[in-house]
Amino acid sequence: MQESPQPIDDQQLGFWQQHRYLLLIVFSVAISVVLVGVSMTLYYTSGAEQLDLSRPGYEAVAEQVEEDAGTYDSYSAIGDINEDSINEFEELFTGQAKRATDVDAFGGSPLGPEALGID
Amino acid sequence: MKRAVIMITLAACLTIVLAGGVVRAQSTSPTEIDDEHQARIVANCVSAKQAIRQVQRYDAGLRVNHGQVYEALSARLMSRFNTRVDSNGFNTRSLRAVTEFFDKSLDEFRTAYQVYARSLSSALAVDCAKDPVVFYNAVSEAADARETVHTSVQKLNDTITEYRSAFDAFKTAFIERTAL
Repeated sequence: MQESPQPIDDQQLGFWQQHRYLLLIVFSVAISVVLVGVSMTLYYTSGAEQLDLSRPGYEAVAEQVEEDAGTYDSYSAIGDINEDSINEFEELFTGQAKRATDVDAFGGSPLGPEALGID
Repeated sequence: MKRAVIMITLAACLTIVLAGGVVRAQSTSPTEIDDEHQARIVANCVSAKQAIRQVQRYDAGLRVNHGQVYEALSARLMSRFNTRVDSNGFNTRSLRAVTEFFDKSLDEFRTAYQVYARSLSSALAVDCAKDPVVFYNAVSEAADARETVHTSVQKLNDTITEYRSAFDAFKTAFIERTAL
């Protein structure tokens, strides 16, 4: 004959066993807080924050960002070197270099005291 | 004689220490601003902050777009061309040297932009109506940081020109070699 399990009295359990569900929740929350803290630290220190245009106030800027996939051509690292392959590279490089050098990025003095009216 | 040498050494050390202190004091001391100037800063600080926010948004887009262009130049074109030329048995020393310098300059650009973005955020966090002098100095610091970013962009553009020269030299040598 099989013995039926006996109910355990709360007083027979230790402190940790009595509060095991509460402790599970507290530890889970604590671990999540630590992990979120680590990821936020990485987000700020790695510079990802500055590239994140989904931040509030940057929605309009996000629309101006060029789509990477379609706009940048790649040159194959495999293959022969002949006049055609050199000319192909030259064409791609010239186009891309023009993109980089055409605009005087971060030039001018928009943060100068005169420009801001605080001179 | 020995005493004179000790005195000269001590004097030299003292001069270096004092000079260092003066340089540090000059670089960290805030700009002195008279009351009239402070009143002007307080009067225009709201519009100045709006202008700074516009610059912040514009520069964020510029950073992403320009960063992509430079990364694509390095990873999708220069490095791949170097690999292809190298695998065909040609000398790529000059092309590789310029590419390495370009990648280093790209790292400097990333770091310079981080410093600039942080200094801009710090300037915007200052209550310009309460602390006009702190605000003015924070904006000046951000302007200097932006100039550093501009310098790093110019360095990258110069390196692109250098790569172009190295590429032209390679192309000329290749044409001469195949013509023989």
